[in-house]
Amino acid sequence: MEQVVLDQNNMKALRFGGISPDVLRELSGVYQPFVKAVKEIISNSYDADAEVVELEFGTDFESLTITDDGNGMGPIEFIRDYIRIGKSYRKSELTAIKGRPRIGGKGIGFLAPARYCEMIEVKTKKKATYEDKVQFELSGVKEIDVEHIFLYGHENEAVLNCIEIKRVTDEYGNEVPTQIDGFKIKFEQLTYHKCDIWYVYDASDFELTAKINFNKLFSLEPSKSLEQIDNFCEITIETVTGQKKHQSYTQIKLHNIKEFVRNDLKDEGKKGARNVASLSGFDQFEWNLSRIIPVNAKIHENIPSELRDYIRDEIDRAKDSIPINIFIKNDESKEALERRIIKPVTKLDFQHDKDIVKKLELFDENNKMFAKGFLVGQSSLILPAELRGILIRVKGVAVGEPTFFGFDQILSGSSKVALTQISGEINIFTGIDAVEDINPGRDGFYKESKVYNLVKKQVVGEYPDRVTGVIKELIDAIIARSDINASLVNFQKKYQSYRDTILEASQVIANLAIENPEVEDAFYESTDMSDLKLCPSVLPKAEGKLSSFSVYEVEDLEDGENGYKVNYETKELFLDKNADIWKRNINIGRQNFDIELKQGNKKNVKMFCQVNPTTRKIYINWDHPIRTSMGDTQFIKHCLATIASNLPQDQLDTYVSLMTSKV
Amino acid sequence: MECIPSQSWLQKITSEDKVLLINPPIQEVRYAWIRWNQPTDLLILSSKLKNEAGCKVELLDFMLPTESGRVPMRDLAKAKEVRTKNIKTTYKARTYGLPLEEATQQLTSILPNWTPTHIVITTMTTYWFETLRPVISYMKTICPSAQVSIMGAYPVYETDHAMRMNADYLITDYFDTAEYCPDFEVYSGEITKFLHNGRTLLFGGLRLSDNSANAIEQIKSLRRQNIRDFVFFESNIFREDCKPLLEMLTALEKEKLSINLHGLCGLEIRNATEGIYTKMLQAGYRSFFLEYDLDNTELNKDSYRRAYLELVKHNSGRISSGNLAGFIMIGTAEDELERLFRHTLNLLEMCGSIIPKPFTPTINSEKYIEVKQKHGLDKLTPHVFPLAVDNGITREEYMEFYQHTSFLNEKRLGQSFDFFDNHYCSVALKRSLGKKGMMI
Repeated sequence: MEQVVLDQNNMKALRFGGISPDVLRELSGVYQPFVKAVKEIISNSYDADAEVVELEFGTDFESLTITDDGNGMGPIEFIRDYIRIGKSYRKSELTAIKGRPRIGGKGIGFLAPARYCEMIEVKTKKKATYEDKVQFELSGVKEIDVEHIFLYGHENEAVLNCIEIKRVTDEYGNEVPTQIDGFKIKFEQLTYHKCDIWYVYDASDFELTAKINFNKLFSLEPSKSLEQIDNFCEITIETVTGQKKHQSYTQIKLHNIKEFVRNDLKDEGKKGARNVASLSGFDQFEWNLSRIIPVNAKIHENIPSELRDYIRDEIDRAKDSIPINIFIKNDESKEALERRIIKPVTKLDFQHDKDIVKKLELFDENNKMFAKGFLVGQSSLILPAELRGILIRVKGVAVGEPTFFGFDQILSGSSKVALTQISGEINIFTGIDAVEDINPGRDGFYKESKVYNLVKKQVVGEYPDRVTGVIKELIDAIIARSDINASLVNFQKKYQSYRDTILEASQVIANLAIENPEVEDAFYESTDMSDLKLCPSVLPKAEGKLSSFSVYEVEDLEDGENGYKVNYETKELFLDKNADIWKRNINIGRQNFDIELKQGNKKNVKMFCQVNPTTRKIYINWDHPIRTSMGDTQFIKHCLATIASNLPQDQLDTYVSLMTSKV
Repeated sequence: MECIPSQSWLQKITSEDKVLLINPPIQEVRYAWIRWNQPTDLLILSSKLKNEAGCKVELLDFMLPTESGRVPMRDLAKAKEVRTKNIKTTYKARTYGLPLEEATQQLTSILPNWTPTHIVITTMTTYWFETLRPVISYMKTICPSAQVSIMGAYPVYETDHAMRMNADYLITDYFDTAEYCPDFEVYSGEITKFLHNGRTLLFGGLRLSDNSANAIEQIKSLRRQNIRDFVFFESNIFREDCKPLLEMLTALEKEKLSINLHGLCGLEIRNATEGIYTKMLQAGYRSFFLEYDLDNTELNKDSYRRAYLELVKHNSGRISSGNLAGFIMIGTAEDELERLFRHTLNLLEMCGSIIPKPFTPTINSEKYIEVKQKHGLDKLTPHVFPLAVDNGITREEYMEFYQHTSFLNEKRLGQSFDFFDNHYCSVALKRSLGKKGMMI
């Protein structure tokens, strides 16, 4: 294995000519907070078509190693592209292999962690043989030797054995007649133009290790030139053998992470935190990272399958390998980083809940701008609070915090409350210009941005003082559901109180029967059947905002929660017959009796209740006037007590008159 | 209803069955050791059912304490009355255990997806039957298709009485469980855990008679569930010259398991061999509750002295006086009040605290039958002193005795001093006790 450590003279090639340390500091300051610096490193992995990126923090957060399986870099690219400020030449919009829209862009990636650690160590390797070019400006000479270009910054001559100069073109791409002998190029005519020298490079033999020392980089006085820093980067090139030859990767290790970052990451957060700001420092780091890198969304099972597929395939475009797989390793586990989206409190159905589940497709007249998104509303506050609003992402990267385009400041009352129950995302794929539309810190859009205003118009409407559009529909649906849910809670409470009364009575009767078996025996004695059993049954009927709903009792209710399911669209309420809350049976002396509520008025029945021991039915006259005086649950108890104590119901006229105040 | 031997009952259970085991709440006037209640018989039955019938088993343990070690308790409107020789005494009665209403939400959420075919309710004693019938009626109301069986002491010894409980089966003898260990894993099952609202075991109750290798495996398994506290439920832990205990302690030492053992019962100190307490301390015993040991009618000084010397005097570590307690049996037909008071003071010299252990006649003994006929089965609870008055001591006097022991124990509980710390207060108290008959 050959190893080359460059001496001080060779390092001169790695100076930042003409840039003052102040400018460097300014540039590194773009990446605030720490997570944005990490994002910048991962963005490079993303643009290098990495499938997987692993993040591993060292003990006590002293270091962070970020490893990807992307294209890697050869020594020439590393020096030409990575450690130079600004890109050497413009790259295509999409990455070469996966066709991802590029998300890195400032070309100062290596400076990103400069404020947060003392040094970074980059190990990178490329497995491929590839064609590339270097630019050369001819100054009227006929013969040039370009060997020094390929040794620039590392002086490792072994690299030269893997490079073959193929051709020379002018700035318009036309071939320039030359004779090529190794790195010597003889031009047939004198030229003064820029030209591109095309070469083929087999990078598979070399792994490059570079240590960039930020302490040294920033150690100069602001007034001094960076020319005076002569050894901020130490490069080592090793020849690799075996399996490694066939691998491409880049590994960046942040050494000696600064105390303030470590303290932030170690912060334990608040117990029972309801918003992200109160989570532990590490959890906040994960949360923020998941939003500023295109990763898959964590889709809860309560999200309807149609929307789940839409988010994965159409918004995140997982099938097109647009999201990257990031794993965060610690001592015990390796967890995939996923972007949290709303976790609806109840299972939603795309058809039944279409008033609160929306797919969005946004575009301009010329189809230049194109975006997809979704909105989900729910009947309770969305937690954590940072999920409330619409998160706008550009090429999968969030721009600022979720927003309601300022309407959260304008709306009031129930509409404002409804906004706390809406969450969504919009991912803009095309038509956005990072410079014209988004502010440099990616904290938000410029207010004059055409794309932003187009999205705003399609989501909240065009009026400055009132909401229209899809958000208005969602707000109205949430308010309507809120009213219905309030009635539903009362409906449930009522039925639960019936059930509790029956359960309580079953225990009391059982207890009394230990010493007085006749209490239970009374349920087995035949009573006057009169007409109560022939009266129609009382059907479940909802009240308030639910009164317009049809109520059905069904077996095997699918996706029902708490024993019911509501279809807000068709105004139907389905009760699960198997759920205990709706049941009206009681165990008396080892036998099961069904309690049926009857409309006694239909047959003019005066009795409170009757029992049929043969069919094991207990009929309760729900129209009896005494029910109004007693209340429903007391009346149920009263009826069971009437049977248990064998009260002569036909002799209780006075009692009933007194109780109902009717003479 | 069918009265059925355990073996025949077992044959009714198939691999298709879903069995819900219930440790029911109990009605009592007093229950001081509630956090150490563990339905060992149900846990062993769970192992047996899973192994022999291959059925699904879940548990609803109404007596499972909260993380703080508390078990819910509610006063009953109806007091327990006992009348002997025209003296009427009333005791406030309480229901111990999770109220049925509080179990409802969990139970009714589970039932649509997991409906038991059999419900087995255990009984620890013959006189704790009062909650059975409401529990059965309640369970059969919410789960009408399930067959309900009662097992344990109540249906075995009081079969006729148990027929009033409206169960479908009364299991009239004990299961043969010699080959089985308690199935602690049942508490970790998804459904059981849900029924207990996420609560789980606080300690492991083992049998010394279990094969020591099995017991060690169980301890290891419980340690993985973060359980550190263990109790051996035995009538005499020192039996056979302490051989089974020594075997267990040696195995524990070999495995280097870091656990806390609690000697809550069965410390029949007259059978303790030389050095056994030291070995127990080394193996992780943290508390020693010594059974009442009499030589005729007086305390067996030799046995107590041996315990005191090994556990306090020659112990290089330190045992707090609360963790060395002496039981004193009260409520027997032979009780003499003066002697009981004297014994409390004598015991305090060697044990840091004293615990009155009320007596109830052995099942089906002459006295048992006499009390049952005279007062009723529920009055056999030792906490109402079934033999009081007839033995010349009134129930009020027993209550005073309780207060007396409470006063003495309060000193320790209040941490105003420790009987074993040799500070001024404890020395002074020991001296004053010495006047009444110093034993050491």
